[in-house]
Amino acid sequence: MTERTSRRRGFLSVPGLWPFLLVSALALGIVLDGVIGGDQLQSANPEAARAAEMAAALDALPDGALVLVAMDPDLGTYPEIRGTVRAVLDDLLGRGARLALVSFTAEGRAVAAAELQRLRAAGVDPGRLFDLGFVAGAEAGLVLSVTDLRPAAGTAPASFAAVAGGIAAFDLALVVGGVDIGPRTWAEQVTPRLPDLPIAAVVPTFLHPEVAPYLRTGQLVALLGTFRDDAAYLLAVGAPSGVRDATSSPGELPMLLGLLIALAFIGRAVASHRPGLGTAAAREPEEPA
Amino acid sequence: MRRSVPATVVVVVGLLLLVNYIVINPLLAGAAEAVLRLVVVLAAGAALAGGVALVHRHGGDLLRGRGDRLGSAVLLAGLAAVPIAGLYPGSQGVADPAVRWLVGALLAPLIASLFAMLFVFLLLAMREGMAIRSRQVTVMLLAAGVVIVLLLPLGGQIGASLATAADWAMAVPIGGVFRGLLIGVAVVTAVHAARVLLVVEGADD
Amino acid sequence: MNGLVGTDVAGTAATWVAAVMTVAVWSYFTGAGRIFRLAQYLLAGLATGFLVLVSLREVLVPRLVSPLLADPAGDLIPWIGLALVGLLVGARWLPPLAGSLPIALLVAATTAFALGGAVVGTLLPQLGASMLPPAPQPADLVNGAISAAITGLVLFGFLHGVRRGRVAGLAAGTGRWLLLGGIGGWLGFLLVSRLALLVDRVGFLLGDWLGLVP
Repeated sequence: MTERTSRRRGFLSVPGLWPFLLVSALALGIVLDGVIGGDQLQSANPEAARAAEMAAALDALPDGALVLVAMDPDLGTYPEIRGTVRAVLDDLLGRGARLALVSFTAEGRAVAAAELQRLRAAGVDPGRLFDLGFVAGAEAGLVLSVTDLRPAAGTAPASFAAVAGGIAAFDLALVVGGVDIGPRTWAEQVTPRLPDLPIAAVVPTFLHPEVAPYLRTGQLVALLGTFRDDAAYLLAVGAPSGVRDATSSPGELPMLLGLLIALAFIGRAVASHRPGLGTAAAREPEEPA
Repeated sequence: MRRSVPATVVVVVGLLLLVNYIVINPLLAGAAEAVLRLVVVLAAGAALAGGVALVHRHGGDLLRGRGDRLGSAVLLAGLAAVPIAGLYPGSQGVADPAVRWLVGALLAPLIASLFAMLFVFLLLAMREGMAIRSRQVTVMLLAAGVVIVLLLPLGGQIGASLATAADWAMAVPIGGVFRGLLIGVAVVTAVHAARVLLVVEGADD
Repeated sequence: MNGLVGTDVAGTAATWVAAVMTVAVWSYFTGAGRIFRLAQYLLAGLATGFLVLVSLREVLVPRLVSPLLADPAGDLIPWIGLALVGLLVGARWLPPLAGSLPIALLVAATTAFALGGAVVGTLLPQLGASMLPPAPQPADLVNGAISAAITGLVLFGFLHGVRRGRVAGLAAGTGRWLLLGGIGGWLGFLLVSRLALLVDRVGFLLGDWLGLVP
């Protein structure tokens, strides 16, 4: 190790320095987002098939459709999909749909309560918003809800009778997924019992590989599963209320900077690799897992 | 083999739910629905039991002066605050402004900040992973790098080309791997679940 | 604005408290472990408190307490539920068998739904999707063949401790490398996801809190 490298490592090993530099770079990216880059930076996926599938799923709804919104994101990962979820909800309300929100996780319930409050504060007709509360029991609760979906005491208006038939009474299920309950759980537990119910889903990017195979099988009719697909959808439908910048959320420049930093880490780590120096166990290709 | 009472409950109830999945019978359906109603209530009871256990543990620490007393006090304060805000007479429950304030000001930012930190920790983990100098880690990091490149938010011709490549990669190689993973995990899950239901391999434990 | 809090005085206070919480969690990077641990304690308390609240208010009261108060001699299920919840909550102070009964019920349901869902909801549809399309375009045929081959090799990779010949062993080894590549790919998705959260959080501090960006 050269003296220069040693000095650099010492500099970066100051507690909190390099995370501070990373956050500073992202902050600079956020401030300069839109100023630098122009057309060369674009979050919206040019391959807009996923956004088009979501639009098609909503186009297929009848007038005054009854849509079940299964709000089960994790509180920690919801910020990534918040703008997209709001855009889809706004899109549905704009098409005259009635929305019923239900949660099968406690964190999802917290998000659902906040989103319901936001929609009510925005002046959405209370007769088009139903609060079906929280159903415990994960998969068991989901299966029970296929035939028995009821509001928690005092959380739904009298017109709830319209949606009292369980999940089967709905024209579409929009699943906002998280780690515990998501589109996969719905595909496994609800689709076999209600094969005609169309299910659309919005999930954070990290769940995309796990959920995408269900799109190919037709168990999902639409899936927004990466920040680029989300941005393409946002670009298509316009800015929902309460989103900082609908067309570029979470921001092209800071995302680009962060991804380049991650690539630099990977590149540096891989470049420093000397396969010949590994242990015998580490070199064994037969049982790598 | 003599089966314990809990193991018998697992077998009987599990098989009832499975048989109800494939056989249409009103009697079975009624019994299965009753079980489901019980399970939903029990899951909520488990949450309550978790709260009781936490109060027991940290309340005991606080009273006996053991462990991190300030930490226990903070934990108990947080644990008490939300139910108080959501259960006082006239409260709207989860929709009550006090509960939403606690969620918006404390719970959500705490979780979101922790999740955001994971980007830094992942980068550090990758660096540490390379310290063991295995080909497996190299393959994983290279694959991660390829996915990141494919998702770069670029416009113009480069962006269009990357998007086309990303679409193909997600549908074909990545899709193929994850389909294999899903099938493999489903088989493993099904086999393990069947063993539990048939009380094979010490399911009493 | 993340929409979780309003723009009134309470909302402004919430924004400041949220910013302080964010800084408290990130103080871990500066070595301020004590503040970070306290933030973790607060998070654990709040999350458990919220779970207790929704479980009580939206499940146990409407599905257990209210039916029993309304018609104690009616449905038997709420009484059984009440007894089982009592056993679960009081398990610490009861004989082990009493506490294990409600757990057994939960295990039975979880296992049965895992088995049924895995076979009917994932295994069969995914096996079907891994077959080649019936009337494909040439490009679809090639892509489908590649995808099916990869799926098959990954499935071979699941074979552990099974006697196999040279070809099957090679396929299993290749499958495991592909599996590693897939997991690495997922790591890439995870990094992107976490970066989006970090950008959102920094954006919250700069925008909602400090007002430096619109």
